[in-house]
Amino acid sequence: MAKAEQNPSDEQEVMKGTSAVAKGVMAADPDVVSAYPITPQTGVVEKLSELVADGQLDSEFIKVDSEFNAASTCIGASAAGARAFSATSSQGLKLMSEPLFTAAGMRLPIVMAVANRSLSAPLSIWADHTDAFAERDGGMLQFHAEDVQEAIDHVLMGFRVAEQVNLPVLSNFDGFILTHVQEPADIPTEEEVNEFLPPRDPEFTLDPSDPKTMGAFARPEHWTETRYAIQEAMMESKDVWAQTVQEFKEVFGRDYTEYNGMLDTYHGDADYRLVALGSICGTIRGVIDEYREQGVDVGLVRPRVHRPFPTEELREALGDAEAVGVLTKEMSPGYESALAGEIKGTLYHAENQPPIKSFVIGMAGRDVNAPEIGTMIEETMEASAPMTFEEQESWPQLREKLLNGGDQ
Amino acid sequence: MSAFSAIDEDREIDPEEYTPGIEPQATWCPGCGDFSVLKALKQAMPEVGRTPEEVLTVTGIGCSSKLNSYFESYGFHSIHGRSLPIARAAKLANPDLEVIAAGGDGDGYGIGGNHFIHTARENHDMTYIVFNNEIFGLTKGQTSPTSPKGHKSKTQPHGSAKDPIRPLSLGLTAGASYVARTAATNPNQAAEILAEAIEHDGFAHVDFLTQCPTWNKDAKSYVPYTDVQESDEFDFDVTDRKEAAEMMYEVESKLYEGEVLTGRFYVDEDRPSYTEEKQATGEMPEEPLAEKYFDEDSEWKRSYDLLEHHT
Ligand SMILES: Cc1ncc(C[n+]2csc(CCOP(=O)(O)OP(=O)(O)O)c2C)c(N)n1
Ligand code: SF4
Ligand SMILES: [Mg+2]
Repeated sequence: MAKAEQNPSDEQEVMKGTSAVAKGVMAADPDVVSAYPITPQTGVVEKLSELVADGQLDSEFIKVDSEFNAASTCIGASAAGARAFSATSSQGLKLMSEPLFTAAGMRLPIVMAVANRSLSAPLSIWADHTDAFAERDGGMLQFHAEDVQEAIDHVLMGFRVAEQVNLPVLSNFDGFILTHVQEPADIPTEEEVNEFLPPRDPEFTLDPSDPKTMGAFARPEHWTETRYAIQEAMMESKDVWAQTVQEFKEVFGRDYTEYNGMLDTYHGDADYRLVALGSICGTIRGVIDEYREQGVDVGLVRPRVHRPFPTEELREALGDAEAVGVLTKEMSPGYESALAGEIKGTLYHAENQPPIKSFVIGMAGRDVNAPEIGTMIEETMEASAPMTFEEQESWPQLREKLLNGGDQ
Repeated sequence: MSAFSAIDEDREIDPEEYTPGIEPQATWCPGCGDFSVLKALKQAMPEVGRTPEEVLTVTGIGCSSKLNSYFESYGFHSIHGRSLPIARAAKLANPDLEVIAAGGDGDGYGIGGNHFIHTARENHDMTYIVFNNEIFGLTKGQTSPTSPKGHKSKTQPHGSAKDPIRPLSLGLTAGASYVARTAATNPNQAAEILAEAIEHDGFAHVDFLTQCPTWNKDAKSYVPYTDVQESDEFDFDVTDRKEAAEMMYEVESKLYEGEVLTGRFYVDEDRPSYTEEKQATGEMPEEPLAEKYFDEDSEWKRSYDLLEHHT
């Protein structure tokens, strides 16, 4: 289980989530950090610029006019061989979308912390996963942290896997819920990191002794193979990730090795299994405890990694469930939520296909409380195939009055 | 004004008509310079004879971009840096709207800087007010494109290494046909300049110095200020591009030496607006594009046109 300890041990420090992530980044010793302020990410880069200014981190901190510039700055730095880091949220990630797809195509291992926040309009600064999911198909690896400790560790492991498979990484952690919480966390020391993360040995770079052009025009007879190479690298990244979590455990003692580091489970063999990403899983665990006390056999399967998609692992973790409930903080207008759709797709040719209900919840920071989760557990228990499309997914927190023209 | 404007009335307008019922009290911090922009704008509107229903205020994101929540008009709160393309297109679709775009220095001179250049270049008949507090207010005080060199903030603890942008010079070179600077500490001049800018036929750029007492404590409070038109010390012709450019350069440099110079710096009444240019080549109708959705007669006209084309 991934939860941080309640009482900080001697090695642990209590600090704000964004500061903790920044300190983790510092341990990875990036050469170039470039970012643009945006709530709720801002604390990460403010802390990093402070660490650079204090001489604690020997990096070039490049302040820019926009996220487009920040991502492009990381591309330039990474192409020249540097280890580059950025952080953003929501609209900022949207603005980075164009350069990030390019970074994947140029095979540049930029690592980013994404403090998840909903997308405009309407304007909101609160958490959901619509920003991360909008970048799903760019060729960036994506992780989701449940707590601050994982947010730190995912970034660190992100550097290792990114630099081996030459793809960018988006390390997601929920805005406010994790960015602005004070939690005890182990901050990796330089010695530990030296053991775990070798200096970058750039594979695709602007090397004066071996001149190359990056991102050149590709004719139809070349483009497909270049983009397919991203698919291959993503698939290969699963093994690299499995090895990375294993070595992480050996060096740092924190164990993320369950299901090759792809999934984290809580009573994962229960009859009824919920699936969710990120910080909401903390609340879900509590509700699962209550239901189990009353004799309901319910558990949780939490994808730690969203790209590459944990296909084999989910087939194994969900295949023999009586029913599955997917609780997700994103939507795909015109179809069902992306996460639910992907899980169903993954199970389609598997041996078993448990019935699946999905629930769009917690959008733009709407609180999801224990009774609501309880109701979703109960609805999941009633799930049975076949289902009409309308029966597959619901939005249990919808305020019907507002929809019908009520004004509060 | 063309026939379809719903209002087109000739009456006294009270600045208070511009105070909205929903959020009559702005939630900026006490002492924030943004209050002065709001006040000056409310005073300018009766001067130009526009009612709230005839005005569209488009903003970006930032403390300053909350303007349209506190100002009764059609409001459009867009995304960070993007007020101008939206404002411009609304103006093209319905030239009868009085279009005002507004936002912060980060919003307009940084992330949205290229829109500023190109909207000025096209000389659209609209007003652009930049609340220049020399920092990012909403995200808590980071260095902005107008922060003076050496300015310290959380993202630049040792001080910014960059020379600030020169907003007036940039507006002039880009093609704005009215360029002025005013300050929150100068309410009467501010109201006059805003009224002039709104009445100006073309792209009017007002760099409005606003203090941020919460995050930019070292900044000067823009007093005392000098109005270059009132002062004997300055003698230049606002219609002369070269003299204007020199004056702007001096004004921008002086600001960072602690001397606040305000006033009109460039006014070109002759340059045709984008709409006029397009009308001259027959690419834009005389009547507003959006008119057909508002004017009952236009439905008939459309039917006659159809008949004519198909018989
Ligand atoms: C694409 C994007 N990046 C970053 C932000 C976060 N953000 C909101 S306002 C702002 C800067 C505000 O500064 P300024 O434009 O000068 O307005 P002020 O608050 O000072 O009035 C930033 C960085 C955002 N909303 N969208
Ligand atoms: S933070 Fe600064 S700019 Fe924003 S409302 Fe407060 S005083 Fe004004
Ligand atoms: Mg500002």
